Amino acid sequence: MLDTVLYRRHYVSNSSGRQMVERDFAGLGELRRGVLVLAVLSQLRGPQYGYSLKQALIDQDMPIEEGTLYPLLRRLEAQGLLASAWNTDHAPPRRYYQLSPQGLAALEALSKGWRDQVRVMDRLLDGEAP
Amino acid sequence: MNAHDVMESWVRDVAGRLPRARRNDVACELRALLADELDGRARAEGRAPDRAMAMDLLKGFGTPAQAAGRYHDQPAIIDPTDSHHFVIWALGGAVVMGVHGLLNGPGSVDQDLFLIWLGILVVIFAAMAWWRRRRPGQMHWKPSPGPDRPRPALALLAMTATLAFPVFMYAAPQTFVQVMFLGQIADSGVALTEAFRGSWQRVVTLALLVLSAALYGAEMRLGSGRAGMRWASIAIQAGLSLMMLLHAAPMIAPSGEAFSPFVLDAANATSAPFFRALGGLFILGALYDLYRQWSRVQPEPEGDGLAR
Repeated sequence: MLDTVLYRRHYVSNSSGRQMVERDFAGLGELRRGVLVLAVLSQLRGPQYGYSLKQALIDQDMPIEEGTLYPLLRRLEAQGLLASAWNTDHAPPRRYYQLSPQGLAALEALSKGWRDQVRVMDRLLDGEAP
Repeated sequence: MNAHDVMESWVRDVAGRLPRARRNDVACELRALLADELDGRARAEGRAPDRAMAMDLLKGFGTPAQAAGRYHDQPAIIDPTDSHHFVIWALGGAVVMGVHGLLNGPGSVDQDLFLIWLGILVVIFAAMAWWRRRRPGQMHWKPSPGPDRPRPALALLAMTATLAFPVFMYAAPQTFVQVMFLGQIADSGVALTEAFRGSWQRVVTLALLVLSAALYGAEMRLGSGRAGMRWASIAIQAGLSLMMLLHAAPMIAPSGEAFSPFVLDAANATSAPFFRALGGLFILGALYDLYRQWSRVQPEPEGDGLAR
């Protein structure tokens, strides 16, 4: 019973085509959602289109549901953190995203915040005094 | 319908839910992304894409409405935080209409009135939500002293007003008219019938009115935080509503004889709707106080506490 409450299964395909079955702790999902923006920004120092970005994240063990990732790119662009352009040389045309100068600054700030949090959490989990 | 048609249909349905200025661009990107996704899946499964594969792929994106919602976060017309109050106000309106219909007959309430009331509430709550969205980060809250704060001045005013107006007016209507209008108006219009003067209905009503004034007196000294006083107020209002409704129709003496409060038929005809309205107001007042009693915040822990 506890198992069904705490865990859920979901399926992800990576670029090499194999199916991964992941047992996802519900709290872990929340944690991942919290760092989603940071993870996406970190992969957009160079231009990527939606599907290639998704595959890049999966290859680095950071699977993101496609229904979440693609709208997120649009939201980050609307916030000025990403710049995008269509590449119509390819069929079908693809929209490439890349960090804007503002996005680069946000990535640095978020990275620092994340590392600080990791230090704090490590201390808390190890039971050390600050 | 093949895989391509299924995805085209899905993209069309998503785009149709987006603002017009963005829908073509998002549709174009979605179409390309879905094609990439389907190709990836077909390669992984080692077979050509088909309708079932496309449907399975789209499950990951959700329904067109869900997908469109992620692209375009539409604000709720009524803030979810206001849902509780919206329901309470809607039910409150229904209760008022129900009481009105009960006292004046079902035909007295327009059938569309409740829908109109709901429409008015939607407009008001939508305007409130819109106003709050325009001012994000502002604190839309003010501290209040709470319902139990002693308000002796208000209680004194209420007690004096109750004694001066309903108690005095009900106990001696002719004297009341003389005093109020300085003897300029004939008081015979409010002369009481003999049967009514000595009736139990009059005694009980007068007692309830005096009790109501006494309750304000007690509130002046003790505050309104005592549960006994709140229940007494509800009981008095319920009793007064019943008595007012009895006054609106001919009353029956123990001898079986019917009588009315006033000597003049015209006075009885004029006062009957007022008595009925007062009865309705007292019912609503009692129901409102019952609701306040039921929804009263009394901070206390639930459960058995920590096990030792």
